[in-house]
Amino acid sequence: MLNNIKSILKSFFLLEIFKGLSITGKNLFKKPITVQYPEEKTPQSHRFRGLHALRKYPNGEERCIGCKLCEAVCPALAITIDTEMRKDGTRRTTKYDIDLFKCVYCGFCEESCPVDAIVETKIFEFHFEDKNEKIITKKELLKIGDLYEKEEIKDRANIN
Amino acid sequence: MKEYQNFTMNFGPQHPAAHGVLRLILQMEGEVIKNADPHIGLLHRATEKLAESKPYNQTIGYMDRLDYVSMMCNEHAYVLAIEKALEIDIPLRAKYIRVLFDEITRILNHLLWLGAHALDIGAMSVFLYAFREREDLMDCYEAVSGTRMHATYYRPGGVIRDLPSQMPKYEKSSLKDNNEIKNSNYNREGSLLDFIDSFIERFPECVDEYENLLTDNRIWKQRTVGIGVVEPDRAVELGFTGPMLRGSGVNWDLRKMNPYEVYDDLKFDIPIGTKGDCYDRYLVRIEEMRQSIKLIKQCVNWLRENSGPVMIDDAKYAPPDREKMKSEMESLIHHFKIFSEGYCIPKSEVYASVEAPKGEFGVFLISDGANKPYRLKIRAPGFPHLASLNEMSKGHMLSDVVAIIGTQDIVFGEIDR
Amino acid sequence: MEIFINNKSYTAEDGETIIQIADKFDIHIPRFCYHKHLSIVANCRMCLVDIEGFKFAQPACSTLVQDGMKISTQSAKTKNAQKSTMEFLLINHPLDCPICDQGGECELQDVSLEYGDDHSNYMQFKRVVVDRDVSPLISTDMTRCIHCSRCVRFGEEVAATKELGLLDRGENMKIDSFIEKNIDSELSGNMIDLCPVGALNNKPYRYSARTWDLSQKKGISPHDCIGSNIFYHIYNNKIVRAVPAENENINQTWLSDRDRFGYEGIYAEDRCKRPMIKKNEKLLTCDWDTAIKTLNQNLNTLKNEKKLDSLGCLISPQSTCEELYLFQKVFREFGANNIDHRTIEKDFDYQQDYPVMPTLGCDIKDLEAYDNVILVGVNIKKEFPILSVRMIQAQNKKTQFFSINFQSSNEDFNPAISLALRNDQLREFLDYLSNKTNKPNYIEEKMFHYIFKYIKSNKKNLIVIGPSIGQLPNQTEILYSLNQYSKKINADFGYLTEHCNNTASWLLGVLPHRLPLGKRVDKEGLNAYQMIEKKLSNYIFYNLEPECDFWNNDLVEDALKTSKMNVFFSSFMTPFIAKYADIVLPISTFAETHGSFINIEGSYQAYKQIIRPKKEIKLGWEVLNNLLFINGANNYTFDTLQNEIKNNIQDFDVTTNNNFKLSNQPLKYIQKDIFKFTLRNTYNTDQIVRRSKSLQQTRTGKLKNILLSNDLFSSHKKGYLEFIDKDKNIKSELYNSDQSLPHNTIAYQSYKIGDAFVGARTGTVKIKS
Repeated sequence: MLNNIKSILKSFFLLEIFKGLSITGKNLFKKPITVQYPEEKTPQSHRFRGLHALRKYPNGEERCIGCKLCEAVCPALAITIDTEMRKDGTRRTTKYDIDLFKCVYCGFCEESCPVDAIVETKIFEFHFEDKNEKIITKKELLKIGDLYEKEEIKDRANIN
Repeated sequence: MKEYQNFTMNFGPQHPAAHGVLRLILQMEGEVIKNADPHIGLLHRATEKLAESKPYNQTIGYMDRLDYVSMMCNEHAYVLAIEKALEIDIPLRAKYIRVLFDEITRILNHLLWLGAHALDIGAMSVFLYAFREREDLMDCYEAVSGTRMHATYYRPGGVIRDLPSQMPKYEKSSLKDNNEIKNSNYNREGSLLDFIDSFIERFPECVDEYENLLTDNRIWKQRTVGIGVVEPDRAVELGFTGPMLRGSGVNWDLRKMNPYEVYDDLKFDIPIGTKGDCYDRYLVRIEEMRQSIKLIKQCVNWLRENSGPVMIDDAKYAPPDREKMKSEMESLIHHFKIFSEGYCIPKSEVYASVEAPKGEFGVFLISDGANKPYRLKIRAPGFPHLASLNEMSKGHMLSDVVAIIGTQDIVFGEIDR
Repeated sequence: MEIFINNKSYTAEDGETIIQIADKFDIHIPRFCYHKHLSIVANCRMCLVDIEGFKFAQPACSTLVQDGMKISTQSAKTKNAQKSTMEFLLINHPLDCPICDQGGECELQDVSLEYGDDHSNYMQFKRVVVDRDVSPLISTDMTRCIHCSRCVRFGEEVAATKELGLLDRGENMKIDSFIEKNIDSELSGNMIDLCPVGALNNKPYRYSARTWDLSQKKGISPHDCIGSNIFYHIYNNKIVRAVPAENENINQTWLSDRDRFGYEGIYAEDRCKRPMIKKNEKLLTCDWDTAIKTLNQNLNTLKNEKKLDSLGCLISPQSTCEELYLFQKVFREFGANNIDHRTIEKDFDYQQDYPVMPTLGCDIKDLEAYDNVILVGVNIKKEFPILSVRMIQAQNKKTQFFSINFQSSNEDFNPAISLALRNDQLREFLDYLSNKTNKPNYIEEKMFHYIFKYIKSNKKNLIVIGPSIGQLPNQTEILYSLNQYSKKINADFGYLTEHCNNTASWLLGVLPHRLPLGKRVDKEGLNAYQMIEKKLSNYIFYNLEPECDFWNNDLVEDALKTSKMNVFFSSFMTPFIAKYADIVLPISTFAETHGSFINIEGSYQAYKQIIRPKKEIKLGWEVLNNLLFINGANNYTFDTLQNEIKNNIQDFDVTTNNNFKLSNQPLKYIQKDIFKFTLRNTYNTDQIVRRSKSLQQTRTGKLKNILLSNDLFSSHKKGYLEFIDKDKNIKSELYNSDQSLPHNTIAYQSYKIGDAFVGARTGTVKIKS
């Protein structure tokens, strides 16, 4: 009986509505958690799997030996590699293409690489102005690798 | 007298309340639903068939993309099936990490469901607040796996990496001074476990907020109480699982009934509803979030105290340690073979399922002894739920269909597969 | 007897080993050194199995079964033994998987994964073995070697030329070739297949693909008449390597280097890429319609003007059955009679009495049933390496071989007699064997003694006539004498032919005097030599290189110069074609078309298209079919065409047609001058092999000298020689003496000496010094 009256009163005075409004009101004056991209960025894990890069050894020699494990393990069949014997007798790639539209950024290529050549960097803000640019070639991958080698070393040190 | 006739209405697939690409053909009599015919298949990607052409590990990534709001739970069912077929046991720490992330995933899923459901019915703010909390959980995903959604984190034999010892931090920018940066990094100073700790400290209040906004709200109640009632027996007959089943008052939860990983060592309760309407299911899900917090807390405490491997030490199924791979012949061979050819599963048929946020997510695997499945069947919880849409919405108004779709927590990734 | 493996009962024969039984019943036992066609050494220790009653695990490859033996391939003892063996094998194995071509198909990897441990206890340095470049066909990485000795045993037992050996002992043990020697065997490629690791690998294939990238298509060898079965491995519509397909009746598990690397010729730079027509003395590209229409117009003009006698139609017997059949059909429909495939021959008097098709006289696998095999005009090791394997096997079962050739044959088996005779001597010799009159004085007495002692009419004898006989100007005489002799000793009479499909060419009537299945032609046409010699005014060349595929390339050039229309259906653009062709139709090679070959046993073997040809290249049978079709005949599909051929030949019994007679020919030709002949260089036999880069780099492929018999060599001063070949001079400083030649003889090692083609294949020559 008392409960009934209570609930009638509650509903008559729109109590629950005001309770809700107080929450929204409180949030109205709270500091927003959003950030002003691109000036500010949200934190990014050292394990982040973004755009790919091909690394080099400190002496400038490319790491990739064309073993094709990444091509084999790629679930999306995004990687295409052709290999040959370079003049010095080593196994090297003549073609290392990644189709970024096919890629699912699972990171298997990085895991499979026996020489830490293919890596997924933290870069996520890439775009194409032409559909054909979706395929990045060995040259571009090596360039990205050159540019982000320092960060890559840092990320690898902090990965755990 | 004027004669009225039923007319047919098309709902979706571009309707904001259709939760993806649901297309409903509604037979209407005025405002009242006579018949609702869901059309599916617009998000079909042939996951099951794709899996048949790939070594086992390569399909893990596709599992994330089934129910794309409870990613790791899907992976979990898949790797459980493989582990069952291989008859391997994983390290304890990996089990706790899996439970931890299953529950994080549950909260992630319920938050999205809550926000979207409320938004469909007319409450805007909950959606924003839910997404605010989701952000932190996404950060947990990113911290362990490197991606915010499609993690590919669980592997047969454990998880790919241990939890990180540090969280990434906000960095200095032109817009914020050091003090502000320090404030935004308040929960990021320690490890991932500390970060999760601070989340579960804060999160119950957030749930309270959502409840304050919705539970007693007269509009919310008017839209959900008595809508889409399913009797317990009928719910079982229809093949309901998860909150849909428990909302009808059936006490069934795979975590209790068929405990996998370490659920039988953890303390938590299973909320069940009484009436089986949309409101009850809402209450069940809210309570599940609170129970998840409880589970996460227990996992975090255990993980803090106990260290150990997170992946089985058997290079036949899990890639060997990277350092070893570069110095030992055996490890290199196994590394090479696992990544080029994968492992073979002996001839077997297994079914493994987990209590995903939406219900029982199961994987049925037939192996003919090869390195890829002979057949992979996915039991998606949303599928029988959607199948009952006609029954649940018959006799209701058009606007109630939106509430029913919302309460079913439909995600087309898993239904269309 | 009954034995038990894993508690299941199996029946076994006395003398079988455990691994043989296990293989028969699909029970897998890991092994490295065991191979079913090689001897058993049990030195890898991988196949250890637990046998009840034995204290230690025993090698399954060398343990003979005993009645009631209980073997376990699953027990802990077996598994431990396997695990330990694997650990030792991997101790010195380098971490090469990522760059090793064997990766993915490596037995070491597979066995390690299935039977080995997953981690290593060995932390010290690994040994390193220095490599040597042993062959242009085989790459070596000897550090990877696990000393299974399969390659050594292959050399000893199968190829019967030991080119690799195990040197040193213990940690210094290594497989190496003999000092300063290369691997030159014509079967060397098989070591690549045998090597369970990546120590011996395919050199041309090196680093070009991964095994899992490749798709496999079955083919039949187009390079010799044995018809070896081959699996071609294809990457991006390109053949990257070839491996043997097992066929116990033909090539067992082996493949000759020519079959293994010959495919490279398909990718030669001088492939014909587009149809061409000559306009104003210039060869210009055109489209297919124009080319075919022009050809058809010209042919119809000839037909209407009743000038088809001036049309010579020549096809290479390397073409598929379908092409051969359609070729004769198309041009016979027009009314042409001058159709032939025997471009390499000169003397055709034998043709009326020749069997419907040449065969070996027995199945290849039945060679070992003969007591005596007389090889005439063939060097088996060089020309038919796969047959060499069979003959070594036969010799081990006490078959005697007698070899008579123009250069004493260097064989891997040991012929009881190996004679080198000039063509006139050969006839005299054979006549003496049959009639015992006019005993030749240039053959030692003990040779005859030997021959008469072994070759008797109550033994099982086989006479095999090699392709070199066909090039002789007195071929008919030799065939006749051989036939007489075969009757005397009651021998089977068999042939080995020049190309892969000579058999089908005869059977399908690509001849001036016979229709398919040996039916008579109403009006006999000109044979291949006559067509060239008579300088007809129109020629159709199918799949032929005018430079190298003819008995005398000088005559061909003369004929091409004077003729009005030269049509070339060709895969390759040779200098002669570029110079003299009026119409060039680029057609597929063997790999780019569906097809079939009939081998020398008479087995019909079909295969499917292996790779797609480039855009403007058409399948040969399609072009011929097109010609038929635009003249109102039925349009064949490949299947209807193949079925028609199959239906034609299926009732044709090969064996009944080996009993031919040669009419008694008067002697009409005896050499007095220096006898010259062209050796059939193994890697020069057909247009595809000639273009295989790797094969040309081998020692055999590089042979491009002139050989002089000892008497000629010593009577001429060293340094400079001039040959007078009819009215043509071939100058050369590339000459050597060769003891294996009969006196007064010169041999060309290739169809081309220096930059000049040799002219007539056989004949007489004068030397001006």
